[in-house]
Parts: sequence; structure tokens; C-alpha cells
Amino acid sequence: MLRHLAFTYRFNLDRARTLVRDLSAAQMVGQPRGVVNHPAWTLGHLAQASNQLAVALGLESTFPAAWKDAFRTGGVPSGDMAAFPPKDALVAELAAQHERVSSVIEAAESPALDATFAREHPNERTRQRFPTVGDYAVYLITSHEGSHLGQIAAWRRAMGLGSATGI
Amino acid sequence: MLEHALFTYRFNLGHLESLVKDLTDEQMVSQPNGVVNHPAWTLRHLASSSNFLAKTLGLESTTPAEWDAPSPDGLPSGNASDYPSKAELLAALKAQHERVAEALATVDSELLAKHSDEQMRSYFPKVGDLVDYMLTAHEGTHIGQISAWRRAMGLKPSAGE
Repeated sequence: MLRHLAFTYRFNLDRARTLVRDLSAAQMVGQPRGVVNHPAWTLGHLAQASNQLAVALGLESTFPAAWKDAFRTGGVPSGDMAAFPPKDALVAELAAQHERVSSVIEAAESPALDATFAREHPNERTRQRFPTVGDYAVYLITSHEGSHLGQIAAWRRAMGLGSATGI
Repeated sequence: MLEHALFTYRFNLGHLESLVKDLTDEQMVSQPNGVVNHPAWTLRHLASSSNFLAKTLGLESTTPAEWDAPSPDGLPSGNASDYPSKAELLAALKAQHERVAEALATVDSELLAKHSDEQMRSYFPKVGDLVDYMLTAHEGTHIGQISAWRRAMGLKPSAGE
């Protein structure tokens, strides 16, 4: 089952690349008709989420400290292009975070990872939604990424762009 | 590991229920500002997708065949009469989730390790790749579309989006 989950995580990264491949720097921060979560914010948010997962799995944080303000959650992302790193840097950071999370997941002996995943999530607030580390981890690498990629797919429609993935 | 994937599958269902809770049947088929995948189409598509997953796991099909038929122009119809009500769609989705989760509880791991059928193989090499994707990220993708659709409708995002 684990290798199939890792497949979905890779599938998501491919989708992310496809969804932004044809976008200009100005388009990356477009917020058409109320659809405020633009691709620049989304890519950084997903890289930050994978970094958080890496930390939960025992790795050091490597997400650039200088980027943190731009990718805060709970508000409306800035539409200022200057507030975000360029597309190539965002895609590279997302790919790098994927690689190190995948390295833990794919290299671990299954019983060892099963034990890690069965632990209660250490953060009390997170635990209310995701009781175990495994619930949190699997959600982040699959549906959380999927939901933000779906937002970009709908954002493309609102921008008047064609579907990049057929969804 | 399967239990964590099933957790996400349940989480997705709860998320979908919260995203459409306040919508009228008329809003359910709205296509604001070019965002064409409305919630009625999405719920029907996801029920149909879980039915496909159930068939992959060896169960009988239980959704109407017309739910899988492509629309003439390739886009979801904006006509409310083309869709069941919100309550019926949610009930269908929930029923499909229940039988898929039940089937997975006793799934043979050899089935998951098999090659997918030829039509799906270029995307999902193994049956398990297809199953995990459908349980998790596929639903997530459509959840994200409804979330953005709510923004385009001028509605508040829900479920912490």
C-alpha cells in the first residue's frame, strides 16, 4: 500500500508541473473573479506542507525562512508578483521537498514506518482532525495536494485558460 | 497503511458534505465565471468514480449507466433537471464510500499488485496505484474545484479552506 501512496504523491507533483507549465509570471499571481488562491501561493504552500511533513518524519526544516510570510494560511494571498519567488524556484522547492519526504517513505522498512504512522499526532490541535501521524501524512501527500491542484484547475477556468489536465 | 488511506477517504466525504451544506439545488448547477465543474456534476462524478473503484475490487455496478455518459459538448450540463437532488447525490456518494471501504477491508494484496487494465495502465501502472489515487487525491482534486467554485460564486470558503 505504501508504494501506491508514494505513486500518488509523484502523480501530484507531475500534475502540479503540468498545471503551471504555460503560465507567465504575471499569471502566476492572477486572482480572477474572486478565485484568490493563485498558483504562486499554492506551489509555495504545498512545498511548505511537505516540509512540515518532513519535520514530522524526523528531518530538519529546509523551507526557506524568507519565504514564510508569503505563504501564510488563513487569509487572502497577496496579488503582488514581487511578494513571491519565481515559478521555477517554486517548482524546484516543491520537487525538493517531495524528494526528501519520498526518501523517508520509500526507504523505511515497512514495520518501522507503520509504528511511526500509528503514533498519536504530537500536536494537540492537529490531532483533533488527524488522530495519528499516519492519518496526517497520508492526507498531506494525497488529498491535500490534490485539493490545491484542483483549485488551480478551477482557477485556470476562471482565468479563461484551457484545461491543462482534462479535469 | 490502508487504514490511513481509508481515513483520508472518510475525511474527503466529510469535506464534501461541508462544502455543499449551505447550497440550494439551483446553486448546485451554477457555472460562475467559466468555472464549469459545479457541485452537482462533481458529486455525481465522484459517486460514479467510487462505483468504478467498487467494480475494480470485484463488486457489481450500482450507479445508473447514464451517470458515466459524456455530455455532448464535453462540459457539465447546467440544467438542474439533468441531476438528482443534492440529498440524493450525497446519499449515493456515501453509499459508494461505504461499500468500497468494506471491500478494501478484506482486499487481497495480490489484486493491488496486479497490472491495471490496458486502458488505465499508462496513468496507473498497478491496480493499487489506481485504488489509492481514487481514494485520496482524485477526490481531493474535485474538492479543490468546489472550493474555488465557491469563491467564484462569491460564497465564503468552508471547512477552513
